[in-house]
Amino acid sequence: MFYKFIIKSIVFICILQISAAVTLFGQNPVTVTGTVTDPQSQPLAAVTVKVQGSDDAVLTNERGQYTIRVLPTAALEFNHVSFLPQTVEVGGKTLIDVQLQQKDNALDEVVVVGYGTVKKSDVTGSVISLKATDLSPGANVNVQQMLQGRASGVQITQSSGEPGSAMNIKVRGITSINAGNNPLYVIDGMPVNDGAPVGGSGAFAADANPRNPLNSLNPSDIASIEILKDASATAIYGSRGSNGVVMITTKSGSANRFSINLNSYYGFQEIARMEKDLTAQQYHDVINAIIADGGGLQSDTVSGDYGTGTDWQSQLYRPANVQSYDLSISGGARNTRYFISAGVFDQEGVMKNSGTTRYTARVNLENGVEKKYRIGINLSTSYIKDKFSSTGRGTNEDGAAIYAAINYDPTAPIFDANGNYNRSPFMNVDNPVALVNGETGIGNSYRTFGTLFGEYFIVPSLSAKLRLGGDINSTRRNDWIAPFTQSGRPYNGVASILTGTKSYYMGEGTLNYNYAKEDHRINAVAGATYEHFSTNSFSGNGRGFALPDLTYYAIGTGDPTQNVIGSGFDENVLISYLGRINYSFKDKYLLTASIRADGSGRFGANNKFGYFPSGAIAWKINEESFMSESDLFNELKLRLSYGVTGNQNIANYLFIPSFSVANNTVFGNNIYASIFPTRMENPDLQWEAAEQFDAGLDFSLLDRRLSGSIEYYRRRTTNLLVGLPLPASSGFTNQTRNIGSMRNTGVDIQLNASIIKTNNFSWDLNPNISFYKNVVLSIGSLGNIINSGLGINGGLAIIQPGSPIQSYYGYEIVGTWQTNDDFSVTKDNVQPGDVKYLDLNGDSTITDRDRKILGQPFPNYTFGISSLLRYKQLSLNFYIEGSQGASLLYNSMVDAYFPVSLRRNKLAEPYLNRWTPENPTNEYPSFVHPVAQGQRQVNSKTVMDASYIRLQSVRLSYDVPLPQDKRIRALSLFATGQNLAIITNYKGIDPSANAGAGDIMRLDFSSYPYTRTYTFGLNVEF
Amino acid sequence: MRTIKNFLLLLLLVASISGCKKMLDLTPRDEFSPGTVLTNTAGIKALLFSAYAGIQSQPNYRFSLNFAEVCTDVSFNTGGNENLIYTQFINFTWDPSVGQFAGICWTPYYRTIRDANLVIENIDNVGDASEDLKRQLVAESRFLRAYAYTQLYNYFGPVPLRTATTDDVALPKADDGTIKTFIETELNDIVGSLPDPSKEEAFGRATKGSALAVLTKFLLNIKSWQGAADAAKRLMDLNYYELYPVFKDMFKVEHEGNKEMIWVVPCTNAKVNMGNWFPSGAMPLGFKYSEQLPEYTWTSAIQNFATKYKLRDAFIKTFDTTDKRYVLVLRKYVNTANRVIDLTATPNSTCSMKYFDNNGLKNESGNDIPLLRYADILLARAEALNELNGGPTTEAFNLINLVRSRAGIGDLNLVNTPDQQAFRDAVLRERGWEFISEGKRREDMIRHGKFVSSAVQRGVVNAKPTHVLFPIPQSEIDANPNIVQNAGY
Repeated sequence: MFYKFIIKSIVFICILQISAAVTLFGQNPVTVTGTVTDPQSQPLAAVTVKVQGSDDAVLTNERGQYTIRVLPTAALEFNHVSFLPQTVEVGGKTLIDVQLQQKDNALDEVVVVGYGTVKKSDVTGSVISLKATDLSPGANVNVQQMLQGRASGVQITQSSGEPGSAMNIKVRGITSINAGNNPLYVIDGMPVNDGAPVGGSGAFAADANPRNPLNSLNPSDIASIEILKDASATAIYGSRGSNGVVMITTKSGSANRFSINLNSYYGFQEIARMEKDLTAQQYHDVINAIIADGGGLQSDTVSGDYGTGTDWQSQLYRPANVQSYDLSISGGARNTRYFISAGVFDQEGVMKNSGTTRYTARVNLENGVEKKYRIGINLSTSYIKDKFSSTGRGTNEDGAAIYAAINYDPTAPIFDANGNYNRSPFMNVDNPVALVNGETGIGNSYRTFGTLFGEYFIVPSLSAKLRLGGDINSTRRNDWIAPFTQSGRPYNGVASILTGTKSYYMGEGTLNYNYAKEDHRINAVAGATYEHFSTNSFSGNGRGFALPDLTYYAIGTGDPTQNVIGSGFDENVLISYLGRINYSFKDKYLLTASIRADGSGRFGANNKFGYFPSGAIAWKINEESFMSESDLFNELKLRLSYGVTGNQNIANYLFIPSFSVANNTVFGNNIYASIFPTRMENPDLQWEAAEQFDAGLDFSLLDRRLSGSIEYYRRRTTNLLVGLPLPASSGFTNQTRNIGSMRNTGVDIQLNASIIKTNNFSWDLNPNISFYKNVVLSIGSLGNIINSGLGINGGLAIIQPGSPIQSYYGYEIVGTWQTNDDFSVTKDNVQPGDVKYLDLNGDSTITDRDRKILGQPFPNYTFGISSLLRYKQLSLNFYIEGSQGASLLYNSMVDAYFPVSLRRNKLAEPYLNRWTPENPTNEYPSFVHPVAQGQRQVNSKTVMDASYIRLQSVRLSYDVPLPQDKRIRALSLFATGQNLAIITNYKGIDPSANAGAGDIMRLDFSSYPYTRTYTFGLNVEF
Repeated sequence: MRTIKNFLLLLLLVASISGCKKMLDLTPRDEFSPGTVLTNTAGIKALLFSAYAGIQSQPNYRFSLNFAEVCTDVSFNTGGNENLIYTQFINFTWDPSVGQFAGICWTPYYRTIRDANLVIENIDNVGDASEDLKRQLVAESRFLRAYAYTQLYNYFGPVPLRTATTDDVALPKADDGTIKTFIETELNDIVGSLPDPSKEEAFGRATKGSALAVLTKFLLNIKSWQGAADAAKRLMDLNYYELYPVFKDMFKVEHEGNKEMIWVVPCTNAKVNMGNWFPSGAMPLGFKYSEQLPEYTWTSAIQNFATKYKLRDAFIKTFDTTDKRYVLVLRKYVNTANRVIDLTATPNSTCSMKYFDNNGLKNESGNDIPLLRYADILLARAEALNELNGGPTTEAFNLINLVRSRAGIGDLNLVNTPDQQAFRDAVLRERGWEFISEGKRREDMIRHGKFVSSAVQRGVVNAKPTHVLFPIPQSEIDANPNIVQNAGY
């Protein structure tokens, strides 16, 4: 049926074309000539000179001259991308010279949307458009950091302080349970994969933070970012649109401006906050006091001459540098524009043996004549070298360096008498210094992506565009566990190599049509795309190295019988048809309708194609005659949209029955491979569908001094892709099916105020705030799903209808059992000083049934305030962001309440203020019988309020005044501070921390420290 | 105009390529299709080995062993993440939400059943196998399936009985009689098709001995005394199995496959996740060596877990100190800081050193885990004879005394064990000493009706009669509308 659609569209377009041409015949035309100049009176080439109401148009030549045949009563329109359009009545003249004015009207900016652009004032959907200058300054390793808190409705958190680790980004909250909540990224028109090629972690870093695949995009190459939020904007991306779309446009040259830009900065990072554990003396006193109270064995008594002990955390960390240098050259001549850039970014990690270095290069090249043709290429390549330190979520023997440091006996020395790493007989975690020096890895990532496009204007109003794109992202990660660590010792070294390549190519053909006559303007696009995705992976690890010198560089030098290898391959195809029409009547009433059909290899046989329609209307109220009286509003626009988008971000092949390699089997002393049935068939598998309604009001008033938007949305996701638990008695434990639904509602408010605006002094303030509310409506026949994991046993978060998704689920602590309490009310074995839990069901004993929802992992609202003060050449920019209402489970508090062993080190604050008969507090228990009532790890003390207000960045910059017409066009010096201060009740290192970067479920587990960063920089333009 | 045409042509090309729905039909290239696996010997054997793998799951056996012992008079646990789980078994506070009921006790057995059913259903499609081989592979599959049901029955009582892959996804529980009959009939049916002991392809595959041993113990546990006694006799009449002369050496890696071992989980330290992890939890904190067991020395290659599997003082006090099995109860050792640690100085802190591998690598020790050994069969027949005859017979005394004399302790006779109850108690005591760390205690205590009463005596206030069955895992209850939870949960 889509053939028919395309053919019909072509026919329709042709008919319109012919009818337009017919209207041209009539009076006798005259020849008009002239010169077009810019505001500096320099000739302007490539200006479109068009006869109003017709499709006749010419371009100015290099000297800015044009010649056109036109009716004496007609009008000429002069158009150039960088300047305001101008219309001149011919009025019988034959010489018309025109000076174009620079664009400064925000509403006439062009906004990039899916498969096209629209004028900002014509936007009907919810689109946030940010230019490079709107993005966060400072040391940004990736594009998401630049966006943090800049856009209402877009919540971005950094899950770890580790350089280059993945960012967590949500557009308007959570849409999905299992199919991912990351937005679709589209760079220069090409959807890019945001999955890391090496999914697993290496030999030592169990569940380490994944890398951010967008690190390969140099943030200083970005010209603008558009965030598409509502269904009318995202439905054109169909089955990938429901989490929002981030459109990134890279810089291009301008025709008459050759420039060289050098941007550089150098800076320092220091740890913002470290976990406060017991010092050696406090540890000695507290542990021995607990033993004296009957909470431990005499043999565990802390004794010996330990001096000041060892501060294990500070042994892992260091001050670290960050530096960045970017050089770009741009310009253009005749019909060609180019932008070439190269950059180096280097960030040391504050943890020893970690860091990231990135080299990038880009070429953007375009040749074209307006309304005739355009060809171009955008190509970016990068090499990233990562250094990995001992991180991850292993526990006990498998714990990594940070875990070990916060748990290790502070009275133990680093080295023993023989100069070897000391191992305390009380500790089964490894010596933290041995870990940080002995578990090391490097990653090499190469990514090249780009698109090649050609657009041909069959007639000025109709163009055909072909885009071919490709993306190859290849990573190799090498890990080494040295023989001097506890886990490397059994094998005399363990080496592992993981490689992965994600390949992508696409072809896309679109027809674009523009029509304008009298009160009607139509812009339409129709097209088809083909996309192919594949992933290749190989992993190998070796152990038993007789001579462990060569590590992963010669993995074959290990014991060959101990080698383990594996490989994988998967692919997917997405075939799509799309169409959109924008219609504007009297420039007051706007209408957009779009549809996309996506066929995906991921869907079952019964549901190969999904259809995603949307529609939007907008009313420019300020254009109405009744408003023209009032000069209060410069713009007032009401928008309403509705549409259906999808999410298909699940693994490939989930509907196909097949057999995979199972666990090995041992007979005698030999190991045998086995094969098992992977999954049951599900021919009905399909995309998640999100229906979204959006109402928005855009306004601009007081001579555009105050502008902004207020939006309300309601999104209902149905057919949620859930790993539905099957009765295990069937032999299968779960199957990915479409069940359940969820609703998100919210309000996004964004304001831009120009509070002071004089020649020498100005102050701009841009606050935004976003409210979210998530509720699970249904999860099929299941009552609830309780998720455990992340080292927490017995359930951490719950998905149940009526509550926010993945709410923390556990016990409420109401105080501490006091000496004079009535102990007859409980059947449990409790003593004074023990934790007093809320007996929710009143059965006088604490069981699983006393659990309740303790908090939600995401905020009720987030906000950001950016301020720009400018006095002459000096400007001061600061940016504050905040989040209210999220909770976070703090694992070190879990370990404080339920220590694995008494002799491990612990959080200082609870232990120094613990209950004793002399200090009958209700804040903390005595920690003498920590597991007497079982280990109720998720409770109201370990789940903490993670609301915060953060001074995210402050930047002071000075534009050095330069004489005109000199080689140097601009020179600015700046100093930036990032993450300078935070106000929060959260007791861990940072309320954003989320080890493992679980998509929704959050846990602060031995997190890599966050840093405060100070950078000093210099930008020069020649 | 030509350019236009080219563009349109390209567009059309894109459209026509895409038009082909076939392009969306992708099959995984790193997974096998059913057609490949189920039609040849290599595939069907790999599937059979997956059925074995469901039962073997070497690292997880530490849980199975502890689940059967920490809730009894024998053992105890402190420390580490595992303690979170064991605490619930120690205190009888387990409930259906304990994830290991599904992860250790339920799901792996149903995976074995699934794989066994697939082999049985597809064996006729295998072109390149002899009829003898087909018969043997089917017999092994039926054995593994029956064994899986004995384990499930042991933990949960009657459970869904799935004998074909085409059965409903959500089956209700089978009734008690049906499942008992199924297990007994199946095992009896296949004995003849399985290889004689030591004639199997590799040690650890099913033999006539394994089938008869499983049958003996199942019938004993359901108190089908005559059946148990007969099955034990049939096994003894294979004239292959014997008691290994030196008790403590029987479990050593170098004596694997000895003639006492009937049905084991083979373990090896040669590969990650293929070893016995129990020793890493059983050895005490900072263990280096002990004069008590000089042949065992810890090396820095061996992992010592945070969690500690310990024995209860009240239980080890019942040992005759000359009992040769008592030497495996570690009481004193030297730690890595060269300090002598006396475990008897702290309550409930001694530990079982039944399994230890000086060449252990990290968590992996090579010691096989005995599921059924000859002493178990001898004691089973003795117990059954005592029940059948209203008191101990000469043969019953002879059988138990075989086990006692190896342990170096005195014989039982009608003087010190005069009647049926005395003999029952003697067998139960004997089994306690004999099978520490072999995961038998729970079923023995239940069979003797002492599981709950003994817990109550220890001061476990939560222990109730319904605790003799574990709850059906919550995940099964949630996903299976046709199943009913066990009483009391």
